[in-house]
Amino acid sequence: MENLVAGFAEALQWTNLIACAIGVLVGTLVGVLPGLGPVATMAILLPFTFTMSPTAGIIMMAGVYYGAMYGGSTTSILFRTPGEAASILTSIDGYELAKKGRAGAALAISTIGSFVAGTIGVVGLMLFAPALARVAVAFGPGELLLVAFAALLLLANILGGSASRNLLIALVGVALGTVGLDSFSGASRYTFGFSPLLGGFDLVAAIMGLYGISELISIARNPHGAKRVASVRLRDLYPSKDEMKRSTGPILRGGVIGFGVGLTPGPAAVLAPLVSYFVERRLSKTPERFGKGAIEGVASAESANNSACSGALVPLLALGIPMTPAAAVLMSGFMIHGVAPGPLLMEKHALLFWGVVASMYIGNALLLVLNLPLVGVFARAMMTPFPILVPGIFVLCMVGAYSINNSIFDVTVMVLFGLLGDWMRRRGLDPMPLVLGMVLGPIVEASLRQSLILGSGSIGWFFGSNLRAVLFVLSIFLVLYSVVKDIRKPAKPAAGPAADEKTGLHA
Amino acid sequence: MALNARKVVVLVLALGLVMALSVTGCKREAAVGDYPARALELVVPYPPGGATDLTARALVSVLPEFLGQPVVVVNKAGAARLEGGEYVSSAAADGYTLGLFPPSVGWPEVHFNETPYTSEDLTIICRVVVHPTAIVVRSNSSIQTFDDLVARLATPGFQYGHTGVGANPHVTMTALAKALNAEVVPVPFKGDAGVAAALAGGHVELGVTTLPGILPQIQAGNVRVLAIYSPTAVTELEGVPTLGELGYDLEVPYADSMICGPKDLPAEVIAKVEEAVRQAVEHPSFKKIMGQMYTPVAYLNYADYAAEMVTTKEAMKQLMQELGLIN
Repeated sequence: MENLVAGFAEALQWTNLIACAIGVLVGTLVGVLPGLGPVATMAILLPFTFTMSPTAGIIMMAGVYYGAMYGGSTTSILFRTPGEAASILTSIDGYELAKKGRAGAALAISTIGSFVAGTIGVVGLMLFAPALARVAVAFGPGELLLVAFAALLLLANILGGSASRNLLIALVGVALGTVGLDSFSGASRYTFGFSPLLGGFDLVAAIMGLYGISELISIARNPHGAKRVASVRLRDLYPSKDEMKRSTGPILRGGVIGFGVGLTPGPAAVLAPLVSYFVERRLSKTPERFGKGAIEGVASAESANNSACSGALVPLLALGIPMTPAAAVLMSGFMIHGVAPGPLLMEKHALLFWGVVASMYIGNALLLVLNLPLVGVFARAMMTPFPILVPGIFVLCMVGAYSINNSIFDVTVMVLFGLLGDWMRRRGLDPMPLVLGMVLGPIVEASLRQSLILGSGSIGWFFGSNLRAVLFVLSIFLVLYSVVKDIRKPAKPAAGPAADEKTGLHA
Repeated sequence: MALNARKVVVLVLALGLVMALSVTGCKREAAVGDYPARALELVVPYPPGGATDLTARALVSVLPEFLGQPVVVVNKAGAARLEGGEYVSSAAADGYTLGLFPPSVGWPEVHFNETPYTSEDLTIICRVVVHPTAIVVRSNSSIQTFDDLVARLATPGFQYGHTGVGANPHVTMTALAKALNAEVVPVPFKGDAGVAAALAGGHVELGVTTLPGILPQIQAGNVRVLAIYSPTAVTELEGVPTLGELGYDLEVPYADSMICGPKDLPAEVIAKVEEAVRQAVEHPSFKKIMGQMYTPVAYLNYADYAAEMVTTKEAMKQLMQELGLIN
């Protein structure tokens, strides 16, 4: 407690406070733009921190990191254009709400959800970081394989519609995920001698295409059919009492779930909102509203992705291991100031650690104050006429896709996945399993091959640790469960849009 | 608010035109004598956040003092990092587009079967730093010294984690095992963070990785460094020998960071860049940042570096062929 007080005293010093404000402001702005994420922005800001005190520099970069999570929901809700994998689920219910004129409510709830979950994340970080970090690294190749494999199977069931069809689409995603240089043998797979494919398809570009570009194509295909919001009255900008009440539980639960899932390496940013979303759908008395503009959907997904981002800081701060690209840049920020993140951080640089933690409370509060007034501005952006809006978003997406790797190839990938997304949408196919296949496939493959090497090809190795044994039994159970479920209740012949009603996941 | 398809097309075209014009507007011709007359680009073939990226950012923070023009870092990590190399190789040979490359991007033909360009398409100007490769064990391991490791490696099948197939740690360990006549089992992880996590979680006992990436674990006492592969010892790591000091003169190139430009760079440009980098690496603020990353400054000028590469490149090619990574 004394530590935290000293931390606040440190964080409230003028230079640190200004660093925090600049960080979260810049973070929000880049978060709003699809594709442009905290990674590149933090890297650009890095040299400016050379001359700052270590505390101010790290506070500023951390501000960009969590600030970007606030902005990320904006384009998802308004234009169904998620700028990263973590925002896909926000875009589903958020965009439906926006079409009903409730964009303001969705934006406000996602800001409030981000604030609450962000704060839950900081509390978790503060209280449990050292203990939780050990859990995070306990997830080795074997554990990761079982979790990712179970996740793939579980999702096929959970997504609704026919489980076998979902699995089939997921397998296409897995196949797309194998394109590029194989990191075990060095062989190039499915590149056909075309060198840009060596790096595979960029996930963010693919997602922007499957969701954002396909939406733009569908508007252009039928401009008169698209529903327009006539006007947004001021009192409609903010959530109603009922909407607030319905969001409270999902936000709190989402915050805790997201933080927990965020600890695991790899797919956490994608899985955290997904787990939270489906938990809420299961708990809801009206699960059929999910996917058709349920405010709980936005609340659960958005809060989970925010606290997952705090969860991902745990292995960095407590062990000095960056498990996400953004954490890797943040680690550079520590290193250039001669401060190694890890177990010694709290001992040797206690004031810095607590100062940064305190600044995260302050930063989250600043973000709330900063973002709530912006809700009105963004919600009105919905009223921009299509002939300006559609090309405008298209250009934004192109710039965003280019900025991921400064690569024109990623722009091409985005457009191609946009065409694929449009085709799938007209067939009534859900792109979600495709994305999950692309995310989880490479993880399953890499961890399977690592496990086979580590265990010398023996299946007994999977029972070598308690954690693995439990996960192994669990994933066997899930396989059997999904098979039995499919046999006992064969999927209804789902032809085209008819499936939509059941999955409830299509826009 | 009916949409007129034609209007949309016109608008997109207009926007495209504006963008195209603003791009071409940036290109100006300059005589070689005035070089550099405008800002330079330094391409980094990795996403932000790694050792090479950090080196580049530290370098460009001091380079303007000696070049007289700002230098901007551009990350181009696509196509398994080859996109950055291809971008520089196809740029105009005017010295305004340079790159800070690891050997795999500087000489792609030694690392990949199909490459969009080769080292012939680049001018390798100078070496800036070497990122040491570290051989580390978990601190609870019974292996205390490098000699203990040599003894353990006598039993075939010892597993070690590395940062990726064909990357410097993997190749270094392969060459070392060959020198020791030992049979080791490599387990690839995803980059130095993957190796750090595998060591911290107890999934492997031995790791071969980049020194800056394992630094927090070293400082926290979670791992013990047995030896490093670097041309010079790292002053911050007291008592840790280099493989050379231990008597293993591997022919593997070090994990260099080299400044490259397109081929046919004018001699004046090479000289100017070479000189500016030589001065920049001696700058206290650059040296301080490199010190914090335990990365020795290892400047080599154009002629000396070219001479050194003649042998290292051939040795690397042979190792990669033995590993079955290239034909």
